[in-house]
Amino acid sequence: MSAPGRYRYLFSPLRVGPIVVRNRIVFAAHLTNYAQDGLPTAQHAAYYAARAAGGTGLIITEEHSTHPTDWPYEKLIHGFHPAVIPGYRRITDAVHAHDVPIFAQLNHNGGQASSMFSRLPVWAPSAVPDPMFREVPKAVELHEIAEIVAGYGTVAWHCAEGGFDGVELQCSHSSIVRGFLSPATNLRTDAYGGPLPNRARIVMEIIDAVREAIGPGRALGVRICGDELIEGGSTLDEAVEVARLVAATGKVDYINTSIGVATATLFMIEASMTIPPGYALFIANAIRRAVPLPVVGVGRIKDPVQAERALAEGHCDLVGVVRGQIADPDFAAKARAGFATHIRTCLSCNQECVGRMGLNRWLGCIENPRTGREAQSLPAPAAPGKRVIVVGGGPGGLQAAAAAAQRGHRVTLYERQARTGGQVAAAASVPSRAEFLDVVRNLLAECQRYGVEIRTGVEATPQMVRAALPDAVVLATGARPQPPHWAGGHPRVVDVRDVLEGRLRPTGDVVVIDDLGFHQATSTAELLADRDCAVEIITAGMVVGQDLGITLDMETFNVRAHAKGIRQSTDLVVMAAAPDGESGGVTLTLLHHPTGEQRERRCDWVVCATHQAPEDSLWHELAGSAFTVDRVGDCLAPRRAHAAVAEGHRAGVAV
Amino acid sequence: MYDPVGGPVGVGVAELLAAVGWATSIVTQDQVAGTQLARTGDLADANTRLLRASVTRELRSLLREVGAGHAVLEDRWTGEQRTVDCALAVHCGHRLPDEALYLSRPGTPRAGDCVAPRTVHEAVLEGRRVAMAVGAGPGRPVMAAGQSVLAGRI
Repeated sequence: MSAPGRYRYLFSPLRVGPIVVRNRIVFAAHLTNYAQDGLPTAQHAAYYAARAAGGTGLIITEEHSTHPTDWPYEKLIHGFHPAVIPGYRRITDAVHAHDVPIFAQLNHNGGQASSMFSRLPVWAPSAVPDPMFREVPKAVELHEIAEIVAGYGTVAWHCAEGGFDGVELQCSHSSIVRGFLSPATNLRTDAYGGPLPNRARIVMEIIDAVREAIGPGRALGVRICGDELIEGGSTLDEAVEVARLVAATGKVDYINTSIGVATATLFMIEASMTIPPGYALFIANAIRRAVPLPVVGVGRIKDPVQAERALAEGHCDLVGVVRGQIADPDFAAKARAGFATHIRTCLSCNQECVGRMGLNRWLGCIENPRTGREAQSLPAPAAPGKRVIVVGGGPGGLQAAAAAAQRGHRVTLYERQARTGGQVAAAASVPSRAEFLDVVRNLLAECQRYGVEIRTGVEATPQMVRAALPDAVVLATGARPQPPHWAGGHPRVVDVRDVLEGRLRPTGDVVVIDDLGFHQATSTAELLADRDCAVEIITAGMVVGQDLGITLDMETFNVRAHAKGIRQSTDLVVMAAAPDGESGGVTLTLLHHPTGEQRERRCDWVVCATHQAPEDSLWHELAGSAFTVDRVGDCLAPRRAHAAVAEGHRAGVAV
Repeated sequence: MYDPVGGPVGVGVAELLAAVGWATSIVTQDQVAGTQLARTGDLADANTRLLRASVTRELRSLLREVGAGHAVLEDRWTGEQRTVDCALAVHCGHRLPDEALYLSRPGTPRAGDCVAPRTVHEAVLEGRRVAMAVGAGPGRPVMAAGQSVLAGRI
């Protein structure tokens, strides 16, 4: 069946002003942290070119700052500086080589910023501090508004000179324009405050300036926030009205949409797997019914069937697929060719994309080791046909096997369990983490496509490995739980893996110890609460599950934890565990380390999310072998899944 | 102490009140008190000092109401409200610029909190810029027009 047969709408062309897109899939704007010294880089060009080569219909780049007062994070593109134009040209040439149009997003983040990098007062419509940056902005004067408007025009001209096919005004989740539009942040009493036409005045002025700069031959879009999800903020009715005002100018070619405010309700902009796919399509739907322009819908759309459905149901004309194409640049091409099951589906785990951004690192992907490395070539393949043995079927082993097999080697993977997946399978057994399983499902499918021989239920021994006469061995044997020093061999002090892998089923009053600060403790606590246990999470840290913040899971976890009655206690170090007499339970001695006070906590079970030990016995047993032995992931040092995948890929391509 | 900023002032005043014998709580929307102290290295120490001084940390909470002898707090994420005893509420939030003099003659060079209330760092920085611009001709000394962040600055 042809692509149009499989997808009635997804692969149909669409006119967007002066531009025709060949399909409805949009690689919408998102931060990458690839800029250096305010300038676009070769990595930008390679990154976008990979998605263009993969068949996306339209690319909209990350934001380009329109004014020196706007510098909220280090690696922002300073679009206001003419030195960006050669870098723009490098990007657009690379994308146009694949016959894909590319737009640039223009933005001034307004009050959603600090002066740390710019050393200038932050500009905003009113002196209302942003809840995350917490810096009181300078309420802009009229001549400064004119300067802002002129800045958009200047950057639009730079973009035109740099070869972009259009520009998009980010008026949505982190923007001085959003600040003007929102009654929560615009308290002005002049012509730019008060009723909506006044608050929208700056949008109209920017549209005029930008259209004049780019002329009629390039597209102009406006991205609007459908609901800020903050007290007193903009809601859908006003967003629709703004769209009408924008469309009435006759100078705009499409409307893009978003939800939330990047600093107050970020967890709803880049939602993790706990938020249903397509959750923000209602915004595009409402705007599409109000304006005669193409509308882009967004909201954790991660496979082509979801995208097709969004179009078929009339929610939108174009579909933003960002993380789906970060994970797999060939998302569109695979869907079009009828190989949708070959797509390395995004997990919405947010660990290496959103999470790395928040840590000022470059954009990556937990399951695509090439994301963020597109500009760096892989080592040249060795002569194909080498005999490779991979031991361990978790994400590291599967990735190593897939990479080696893809480069033409003969690969056999041994997994001692009945199924591949390793600890990922256990982690994903918690309902709220189910999509995490996709990382091993995708990798297993790749192994099968590339001809890896997968032997499950087989414990690889040194004798077996040597007898196979391999050229190279990759060990991905994982990690094993180790009880904390204070456990004292108590049978009811157990590891989260004992619970998640079904070996034990604690009941009654359960304490979960969070030494890792991530999903291990929180998701196990949820599972136990769902099983009617009374659950308390205890951590020595200042916050339970502290790293849930960087993946935007903190808010939703806490809402669920509250609903499930999960208690959280911080600043407590476990000093000892003792049998609790006749009940068979445990008495914990806890030290409140800020004050030095000790207390006892009696419970029925203690479940520990704590550091594991590397399962590296085979590594030691194979030492001195004639073939190369590499090890990846937890058997090297127990960490998170991204390390296993990255190291597996390195080992696989290094064969 | 209602401290939506999370800077040194809220924590410092809470410590001060506790030291003179007031039963003190610090109310913040954050999961720890004084989050902005992280960049100074004082975050953990500040929270330890608060706990040792018996300051109650009302975390991830919004101050919704102050009445006779009580205050109403709301969990930031769940919306659950609770009432706590309160004889005195101290607001330690963001301030507004005193622009009266500036607005009487717009365009007059200005620096520091009357531009936008921030820290002493910005006041010193902008004060120096204003001084350096004296006699340098017309312009806005806080940010010279056309000056690029890439070109460096004073």
